[in-house]
Amino acid sequence: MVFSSLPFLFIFISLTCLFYFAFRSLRWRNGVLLFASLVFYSWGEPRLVLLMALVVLAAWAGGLGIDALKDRPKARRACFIATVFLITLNLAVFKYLGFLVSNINGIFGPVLTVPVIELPIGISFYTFQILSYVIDLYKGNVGVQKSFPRLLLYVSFFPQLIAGPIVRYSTVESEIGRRKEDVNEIAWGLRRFITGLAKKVIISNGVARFAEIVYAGDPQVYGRLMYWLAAIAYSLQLYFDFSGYSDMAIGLGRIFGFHFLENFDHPYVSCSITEFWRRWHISLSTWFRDYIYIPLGGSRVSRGRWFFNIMVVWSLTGLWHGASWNFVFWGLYYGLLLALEKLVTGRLMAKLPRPVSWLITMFIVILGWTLFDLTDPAALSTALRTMFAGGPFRPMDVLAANTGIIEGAFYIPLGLIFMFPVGKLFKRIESSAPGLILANLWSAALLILCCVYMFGSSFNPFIYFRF
Amino acid sequence: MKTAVNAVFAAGVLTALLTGLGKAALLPEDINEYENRYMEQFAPLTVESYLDGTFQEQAEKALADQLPWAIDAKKSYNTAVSGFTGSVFDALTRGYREAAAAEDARRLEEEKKAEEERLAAEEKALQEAKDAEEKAALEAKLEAERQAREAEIRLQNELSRGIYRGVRNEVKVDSAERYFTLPSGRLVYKEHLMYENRFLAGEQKKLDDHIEAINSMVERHPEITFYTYYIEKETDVNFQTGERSGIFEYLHDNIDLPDENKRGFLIDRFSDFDAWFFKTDHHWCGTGSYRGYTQVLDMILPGEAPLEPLEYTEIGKLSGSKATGTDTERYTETVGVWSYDFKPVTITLNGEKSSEYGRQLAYIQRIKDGGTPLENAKYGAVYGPDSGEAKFENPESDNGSILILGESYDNALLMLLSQHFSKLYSVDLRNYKAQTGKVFSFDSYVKEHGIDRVLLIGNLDYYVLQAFILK
Repeated sequence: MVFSSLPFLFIFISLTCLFYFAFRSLRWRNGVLLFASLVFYSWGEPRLVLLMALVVLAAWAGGLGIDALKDRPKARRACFIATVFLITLNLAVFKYLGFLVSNINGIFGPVLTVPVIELPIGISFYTFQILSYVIDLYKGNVGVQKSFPRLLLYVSFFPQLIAGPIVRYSTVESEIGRRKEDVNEIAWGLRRFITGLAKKVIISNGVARFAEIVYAGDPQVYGRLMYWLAAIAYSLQLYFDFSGYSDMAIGLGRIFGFHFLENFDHPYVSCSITEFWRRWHISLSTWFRDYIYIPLGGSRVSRGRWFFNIMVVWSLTGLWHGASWNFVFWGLYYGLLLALEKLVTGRLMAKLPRPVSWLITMFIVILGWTLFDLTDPAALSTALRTMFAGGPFRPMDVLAANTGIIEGAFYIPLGLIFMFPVGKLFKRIESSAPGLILANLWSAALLILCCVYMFGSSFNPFIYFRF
Repeated sequence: MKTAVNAVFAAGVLTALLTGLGKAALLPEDINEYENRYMEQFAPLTVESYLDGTFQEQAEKALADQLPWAIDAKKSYNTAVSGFTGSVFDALTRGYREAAAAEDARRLEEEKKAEEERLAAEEKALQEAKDAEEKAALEAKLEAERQAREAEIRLQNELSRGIYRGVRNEVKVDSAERYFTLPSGRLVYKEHLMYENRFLAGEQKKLDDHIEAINSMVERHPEITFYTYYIEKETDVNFQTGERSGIFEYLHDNIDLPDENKRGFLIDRFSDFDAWFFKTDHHWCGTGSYRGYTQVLDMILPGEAPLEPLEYTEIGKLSGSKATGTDTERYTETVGVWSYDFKPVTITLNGEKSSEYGRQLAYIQRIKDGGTPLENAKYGAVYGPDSGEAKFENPESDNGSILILGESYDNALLMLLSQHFSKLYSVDLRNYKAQTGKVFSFDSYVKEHGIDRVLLIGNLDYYVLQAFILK
């Protein structure tokens, strides 16, 4: 089930809230959330919900083992490795086995049958969450969770299950067992949810239409300008979709008394690639930093080893996004750029006027998203060729090809405005009582507008099917 | 104060969502007046419907129809988008269109001049013709050329007026009767929107699966008389080259039934297709479906007199499935229905009694009462919906019972055929489980209802889609 759908709004969230707040005891409330989360996942993946439960069961049993073997370090380590191996193996089989076999066949000829395995939605997100629990438990950063339902609730909690953010166990450890919901927090959560919903339904879906029309059309008709606009539109789509989902997750979490960390901090205002990755999908970047990069030695190693560490982390970041070579190249693209920035270009960029460094950064980011978007090598090659050596803009031909592009184009300026932190103005307004009334009325109006969009348009791309 | 404001807000949002759900689930409506079709309903929640996703799918569709103001919201959205798109399009292309109009005027002037010169030349040639035979041949040739020119002009006018709203010069209209592709990718032949041809080679494997299921069913039930009826459409014939799909012939050769029990709605030439099918929709029109009815009746009850069509009434405009979602969305056509002297039958749709199947009679009455013609009629609303199960009981007939397994094409026949059988059951396998909450088992169904005859009827999709395979 996706947040930006009528069943989620009118069936799922309304009934979950109704039953959740009907109980006073936290045990029952957690029970409602766990049941709702399993329904949420099973809505689209009725059978694969069992797989998720099994992986959590492995982590829960592994966690108990790690805790019980405190006095036997070798056995404890073996238990830890076995648990991590099992959890990672699940991800490897479901997400990467087909890719691996295809590559083996590519090298040695058709020696193996490529397995057709359905990718469980959100597997990358929930695997990383479970791993964070096991690793932090092993390191002694969190306590063992003896209750299986509570651990299952942590992993399957519907706000963050299919599109993140990757919530670490340490973030919600105490709130699973003790939390307090407050009407002001609930209202804040609702407003945040509606903001995220509007980002997704109105802006992201709007600009997505533009990119889709251009990439599906004849490059000779659209030419250089429209291909660049399509790349910008896709970059906006990705940001408003992903950050919209994160807003909705954070808002929903708050309604039920959970405080998730921010996942996006206006990444498109960045003036360097390092800054961009500090602001984009923060929960993923910090996960890789804390669980891969630093254990590999981080930057406190020789230059050669540091470069190796960077490339490993970024190729894995690329692979995390999808089992395909273009994601690996996309990861390596950023690994190289970040290494280069650290060694040479970072100092140069810092000396440039901010608008210039911003433009350079955005150029790199937009190019990166094009690499990320077009998984078909032929389509990617056509797009890059057209972006850099395409023909001129032929407005009449573009309009003749598909008038739907007019509607898509309408949302690009909106996206360009709202990618800057203009929302902070609204937050200031909320501090006074009349301002709060206005903010609530605005949110209610925005929710109605979102519903109109959901009724009127069936175009609602779901970009997380690869994760 | 802040807490009170927030409490009102949170409670208000939750109440609105729950009220919407309550209305959609407990007070569902039947007819979507905006789109002229039956409204989607929630499917019964069972373990099976949940596991195979039909409950979820149907819930999404039902909410989109049944929530309060859903239709108004959809209408407003569509009006706003098309208004915005249309005005921006008009503003952006004004200069171009003015230039094109000037160019058209210049071209017309030139054509007029050329026509005058041609007429003068024709006159001269006729005067110079030596004898009566040569003169007659020349006149015939000139007349044929004139008709070809007029046909091309008519086609050009039709296209520029209706189908294609964009830059007209981009559309390559060809007087040699060729298919061409609109910028959206939609094929056009003459004034019909078309689907691409499909041939036996590409469909054979799926056809074999269906044939195997049909033959197995026929073998298991010697007590039942089976009939198949294949409806050809434009995918079966290439009007430009005359090439045929070969699918009807393949079905005919491989289904284990006597020849007289296997018939087809066959199309030999474009003029047939033009007369029997809508231009913007994939279904057959009133004339085509009546022809289908008479052929089916003749196959099942030879000698039985079919109902005669009484009066043709134009009920409004139709912009069908082929025109939806393309740059041809503004292309509409006139739709009319025939009235018949229907005897009263009892109709049950998905287990619930219904006063009508399809709104054809209501639409005719609406026009007769001076009502406004429909702006956008839909095949399903006019002739009847794709009901999972429809049952017609006719106390005046003693022809036994028949089960019709088909898809939307047969909707237009059900009321007509119901006049000839004591009990007519129609099952659309795509919707049966979602709308009735039961799994369809052919063996149990025919036993439970005492079925004497079974008719399998549909176009190519019916004979290749997995959803229609009999189990």
